[in-house]
Amino acid sequence: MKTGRRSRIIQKTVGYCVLTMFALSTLLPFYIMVVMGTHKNSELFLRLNFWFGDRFPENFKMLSDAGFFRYFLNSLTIAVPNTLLVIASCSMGGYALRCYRFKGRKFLINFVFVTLMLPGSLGTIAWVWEMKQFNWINTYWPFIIPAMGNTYGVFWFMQYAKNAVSMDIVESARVEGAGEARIFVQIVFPFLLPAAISLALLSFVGCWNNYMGPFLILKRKELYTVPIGIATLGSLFRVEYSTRILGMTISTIPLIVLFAFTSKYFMYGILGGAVKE
Amino acid sequence: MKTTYAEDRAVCKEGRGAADTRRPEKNGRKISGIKLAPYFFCAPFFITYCMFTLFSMVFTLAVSFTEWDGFGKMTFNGFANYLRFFDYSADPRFYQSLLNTFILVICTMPVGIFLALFLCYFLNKKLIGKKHIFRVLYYLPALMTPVAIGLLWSILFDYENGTVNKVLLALGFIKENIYWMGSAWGCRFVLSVLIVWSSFGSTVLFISSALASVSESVVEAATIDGAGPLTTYIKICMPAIRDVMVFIIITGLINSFQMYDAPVLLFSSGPSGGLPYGGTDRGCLTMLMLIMEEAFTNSHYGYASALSYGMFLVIGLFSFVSMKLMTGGEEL
Repeated sequence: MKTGRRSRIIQKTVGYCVLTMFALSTLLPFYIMVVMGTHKNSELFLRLNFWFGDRFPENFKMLSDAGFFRYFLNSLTIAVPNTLLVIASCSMGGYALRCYRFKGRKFLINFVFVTLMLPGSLGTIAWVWEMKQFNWINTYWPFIIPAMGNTYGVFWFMQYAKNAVSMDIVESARVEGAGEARIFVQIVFPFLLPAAISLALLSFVGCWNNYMGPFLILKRKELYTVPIGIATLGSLFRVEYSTRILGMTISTIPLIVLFAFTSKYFMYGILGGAVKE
Repeated sequence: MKTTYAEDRAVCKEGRGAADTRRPEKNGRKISGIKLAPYFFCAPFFITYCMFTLFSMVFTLAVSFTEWDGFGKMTFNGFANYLRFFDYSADPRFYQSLLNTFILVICTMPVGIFLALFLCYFLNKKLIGKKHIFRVLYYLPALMTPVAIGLLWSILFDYENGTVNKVLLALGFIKENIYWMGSAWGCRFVLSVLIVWSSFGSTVLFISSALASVSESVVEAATIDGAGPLTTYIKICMPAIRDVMVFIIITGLINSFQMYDAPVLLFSSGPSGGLPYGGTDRGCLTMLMLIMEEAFTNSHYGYASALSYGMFLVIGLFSFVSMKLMTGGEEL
């Protein structure tokens, strides 16, 4: 009994040590990034910096002078409507495909499964051409409207609705005389909320981090989003490295905050969605 | 009102509880509502998908049979674009980028999966608490903007001023700075470290959730039969997470083909000056980087479209092969 307990303690200690080591090595680049952003550029490359410097205010000011926070707002202007529309269209689509029987349902479900396998960048060339035809170059529409056609999102909701939506309640609401739209908004959507939250996280992160799309569409400096901002800060404004790194740090903050709030749902979504019964 | 768990989570499987619009009913108005609703619900998704994504894919296919600079007239030239990139002597870059992608996959995938399996062996133990916090920490790199990761890596692995060189010098491992990105293999190494770091979290998440679904009783039975914890892990847990492994490998493959942001920034903007597009000797030129260069730098839209479909064929082929190999020909 005593040896059993001792071996449990050893196992526990070894386990925590390994986990912590891995966690530290994942966080180390983050830490270096945060620290580098608070130093003077000339000091950055002179010696190793393992602790925070005192240049944060200056770097911050240089960053805002270079218009970085404009990019920040631009990114939000794209990512928020994008996320909301993705959630709206995908939750409706996924619910309809899973919980209604209608003509063409089989075809649409197969359509979703097949298109799920197409690599996302397959049509990029013609997509840019199409945006030109729509006169959408230098606007944010290309990142908001087409986002609604998110196959992955529909699939995600379809999988989730299978177990989450109680058809008995939906049926009884129908008997009470509620319209389909009202049933969806008031009864079904609350059931789908965990899936919606985790998809919102994925969608927001994807949109926030998107570099290639804005790079091909947005040609005017004042329209740039955060990733292009980071990529071009150095060349356009003669901004120092430490300032650029501070910009990177700040651009990660919204994602981490969002993740902190949604991680529980997100992990649950992965746990429920990735594993086959 | 109290309902049982089973009632509450009534599964809306075929026929059970679902609104069957094919069934004739009397109340006319309500039926039409039920009949039309699913179409309305599906419409936003399908219309936008067909209008933008599907259209652009089909149009790209059409463009791939032409010669086009994006503005002027398209001239039909049949399979000439395809023949050009399939022919190594005409344009070696397709095969080079294919090779680069495979080298990256081979350098990163086994390492990433092995590390994740090693970690999950500890993470999924019952003794360990606070699993959630650890999973969140491991997942953080996956959130970071790839552009920022590329830039950060170019600073860390810089020749003159890089942090990695400085640390190695200070610890006495090296006498002089290593020119990490001075060769194709050096570039691949740096990019591999980047990929492993940024994709590690999601691999851990998938593997650990799959492991959590391995039935306790099977593991207990194995322990009673005298299997050690490591044997149990390899012999019982590994086969159980095969499906997830297939998923991780295929998505990893697809992502490697389509990697763009991080390598572009990694090589274009180090403090000691930029490298060629795709790294030294173009050793890290991925498929998508080649396509983007052909289309938007060289304005060879037709050729770039053909390359896109070449990429699509290769991805399809290798997803299929790896699925068959991993599952031994069985259905998933």
